[in-house]
Amino acid sequence: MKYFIQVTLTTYVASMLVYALWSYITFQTLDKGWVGSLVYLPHGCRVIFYCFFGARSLPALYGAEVTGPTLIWGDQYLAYWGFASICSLLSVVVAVEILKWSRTSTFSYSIIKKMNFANYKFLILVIIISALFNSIFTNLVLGLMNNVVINATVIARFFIGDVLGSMVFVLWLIIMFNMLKDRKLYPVHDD
Amino acid sequence: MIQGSHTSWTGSLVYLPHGCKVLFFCYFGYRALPALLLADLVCYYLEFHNNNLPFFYVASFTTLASVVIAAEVLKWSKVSIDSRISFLTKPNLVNYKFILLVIVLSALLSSIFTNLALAGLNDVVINVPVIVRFFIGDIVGSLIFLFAVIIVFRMLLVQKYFEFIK
Repeated sequence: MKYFIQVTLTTYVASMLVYALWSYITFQTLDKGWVGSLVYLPHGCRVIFYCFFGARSLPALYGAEVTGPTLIWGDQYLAYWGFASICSLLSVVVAVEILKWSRTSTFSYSIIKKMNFANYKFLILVIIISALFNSIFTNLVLGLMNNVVINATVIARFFIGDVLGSMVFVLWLIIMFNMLKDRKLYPVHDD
Repeated sequence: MIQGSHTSWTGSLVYLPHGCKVLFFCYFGYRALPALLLADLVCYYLEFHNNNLPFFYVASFTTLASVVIAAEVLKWSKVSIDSRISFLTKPNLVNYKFILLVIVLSALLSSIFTNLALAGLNDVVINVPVIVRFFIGDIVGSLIFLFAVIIVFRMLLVQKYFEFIK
């Protein structure tokens, strides 16, 4: 229970910070707000936290997905965005589970034992597959619930945004943790 | 099978040719590409004659590219125990997980980028349900083709028409 609370707090706070940073940069100019979706950093949070903490991170990730946009948009927050968030999270879950089923790698899901990004191929595959699922099925949900036509260009933009955003987020984490390791601020266990 | 039907789009829910593309690329590698491309072009010509052929040619190219990218990305990631499938040395479907992953990833890529190319060239709006239909069609079609191949090869194996080379 204690570990679950730690995971929830870490995931929620980090996801909210990333969403706040992304939305602050993106919504500076509302008419060009879609440009921000080409580097959608919060998708990196979904991938990283689900890969490291597993299903325990899902409540916090969903909480951040709902409260982040609610704080930004207030009354303009649309209820069906919540369903789209579920779809986005499911995309990551499905991508990870498919790759685990295929015996992709020896990737450890424990943040305590292996806080490293050595097995980057697994993360890259999760990012690509989850971005593909997310771009199709989240837009399907949004299109059906909002009764609007969403075209292929928007889907491609979602895909590019999720991939680039995740890559930027992962690169930033790699740089930060490498720096912490070099400064010997935390020990890394190789086993 | 889809000719003359008013609901011919239902045929795209079981798009068998995607299975050919995946399986032949996985087994024969880049050597299979010219034949796969030629088969696509000839079939489109026979089916649609001169109507919108350039668009179909672009679609052929993007779907084949999707299969190539999916297979290469998965090989690069060493996703399965042994992704080096050679038809000559190991004509088996034991390593089905690799093929299934190529099917899923290539179907995702193909459904998005083929429709994106078609929408861009044709200047039409292609909405999400069409993309989902492509995705489902590619997966279901490939699985049916794969099962058919498994059944045929099992039958041939049982009848001792060929032997596995270890």
